[in-house]
Amino acid sequence: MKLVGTIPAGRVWDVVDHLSRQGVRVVAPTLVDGLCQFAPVTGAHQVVKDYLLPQNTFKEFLFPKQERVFTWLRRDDGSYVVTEPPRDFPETVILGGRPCDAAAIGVSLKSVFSASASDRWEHADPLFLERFERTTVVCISCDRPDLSCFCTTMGLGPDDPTGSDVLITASGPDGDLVVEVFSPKGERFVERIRPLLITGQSESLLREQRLAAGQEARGRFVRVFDIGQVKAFLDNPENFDDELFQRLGTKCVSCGVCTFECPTCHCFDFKDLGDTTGGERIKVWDSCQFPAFTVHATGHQPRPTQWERYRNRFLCKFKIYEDVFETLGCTGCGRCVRDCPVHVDITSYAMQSHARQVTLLQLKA
Amino acid sequence: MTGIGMSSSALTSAHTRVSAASLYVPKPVRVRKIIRETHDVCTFQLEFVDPVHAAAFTYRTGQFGEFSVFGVGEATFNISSSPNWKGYFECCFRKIGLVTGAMARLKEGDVIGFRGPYGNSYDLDAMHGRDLIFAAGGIGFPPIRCLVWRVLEEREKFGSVVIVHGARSHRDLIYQREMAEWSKRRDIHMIKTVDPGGDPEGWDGEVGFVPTVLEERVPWVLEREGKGPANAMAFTCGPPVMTKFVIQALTRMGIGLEQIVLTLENKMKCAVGKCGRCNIGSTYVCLEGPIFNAAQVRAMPDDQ
Repeated sequence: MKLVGTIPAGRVWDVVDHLSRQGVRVVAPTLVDGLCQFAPVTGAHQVVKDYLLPQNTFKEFLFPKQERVFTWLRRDDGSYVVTEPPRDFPETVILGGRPCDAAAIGVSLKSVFSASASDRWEHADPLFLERFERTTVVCISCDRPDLSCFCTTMGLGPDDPTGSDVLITASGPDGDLVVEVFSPKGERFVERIRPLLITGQSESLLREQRLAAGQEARGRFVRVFDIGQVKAFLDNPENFDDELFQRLGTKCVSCGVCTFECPTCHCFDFKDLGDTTGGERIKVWDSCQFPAFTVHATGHQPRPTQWERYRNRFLCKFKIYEDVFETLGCTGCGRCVRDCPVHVDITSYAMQSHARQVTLLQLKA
Repeated sequence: MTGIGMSSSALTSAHTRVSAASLYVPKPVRVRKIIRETHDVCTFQLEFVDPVHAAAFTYRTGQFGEFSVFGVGEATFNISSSPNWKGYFECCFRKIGLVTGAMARLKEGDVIGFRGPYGNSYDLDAMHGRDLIFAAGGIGFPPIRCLVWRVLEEREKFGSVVIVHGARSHRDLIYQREMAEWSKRRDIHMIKTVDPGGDPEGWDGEVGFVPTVLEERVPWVLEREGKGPANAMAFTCGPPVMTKFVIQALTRMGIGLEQIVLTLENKMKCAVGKCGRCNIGSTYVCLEGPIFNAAQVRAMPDDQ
């Protein structure tokens, strides 16, 4: 980590104009259809400056909602030409990302689409990884979590740099923005915006003010449970049939919002557009909350009811991700809590699993 | 997790390297021959259109692939031929969905797409010297048929071979020609059975479900010719309800869970551990399977 200086309060979004002039695509919180969302912007005036979390994550700029995988064309002799589109992805800066999304996308989602770190598999998805190489994640620390946030519970925090190339934190009496760099991509970003940086201040004072700002924000979280206890509960196969899954999940309406807004959800499907003579196959987001997701061609359905499908989502976040992809499956952004139309709350699952585990331990003692 | 029937290195070396650039992109393969097994089951013999692809292609017994009809979609099938057969490979499918429906309408010479091979494979070495039971019904048979052929290629290395092949009716029995051949061999016990009501006049096989017939017929073979249940290994594939009863029958015969090998048929899309569809608890069937022993399957949550 390197603390490189500050940007004066109120000037951070000038970065947008600065980078756009240099031909860099900038993705920042902006209004789309009346909602604050991550989308490409070209000027500071387009940015929503007073925001906590955009409704979408910036995942879609690395793992698009739909993208072409290849095209086919049938020749007259019945043979096919199969062509992959060029992977000429634009250099992109995500500006104003939040630490929960940075950890989720830059570490967790990346581990899914990479070859396995522990040699369990070698398959790497170039569509994600080549975009990732060309994307710089510049996060702004949160100063005011809302009631749905729980990143601290997941071992992260409103000023945690995991997954960020650059982290910017409003600090000190004037709210100046302290800029810290965590990667070579971050270094290149700083070079691009150097004219906006103020340097030469006392590094120890800035560091102190920046830590204090993070500390203050950390004190404002309310959804607290122990992920170690949750994992221990889920690791016990006997608990797979615990009544809590059915009780909490029956009301789920299978809309899939939680999965589409989730920064770590990675499930996708392939669809063919066109016909046998010519067309394209696209990779599209999918959701484990849909019955068709797992149903076999024979009609056999491994997860016949909706609460079983939500149980899979909960397990994926708090157990499967860790077991298979060796990273956090949830970073506590809280979108699935905030935006569920029927208030299915993954932290309720976690808190009740935690409570169950503690009770089970007490009963054993 | 390692048990008999599953290669101990399954997690590290079982996965074929797929070059990053073509992770989801199929290679064109030509339908060399179509064998209409039944009214709704076909075998395709396939060969790569590009000789470079053909030369580079190898697979192990029990691996699977993704088969594409361009413009319709992709479906997952086991590669049902023996890896020792040169110049082509096979898949076998029942016409049941969009892709298989489109495949059933194809003609010899048509071109489809193929990605693979994927997944782990049967551990032939662990089977040497043992009595082998193959039990599957309907379209569950192709994923163990590749292994039957592989065993027959080195028949002397194995003990008794019993095959229980079931179908809903005599009209649904696949691989009739090779089964007839196997029936004539003295070193194979070939038992074919159809569900009650599926037997026509003059039917010369058994009548009953695969698990029942298995339990009635196989212990006798193991006692008389084999070295008893402790030396046997069983291979099965089919819908979860059938495999459950097959495992129960085998268990009653004294065959341990680690001696029973299943190949799972979960729904898949990517086949490379990304699309999130085939997992049973923390087990990704595409990466760690599709071949597991029954002890491993029993340890998985009831999410199957």
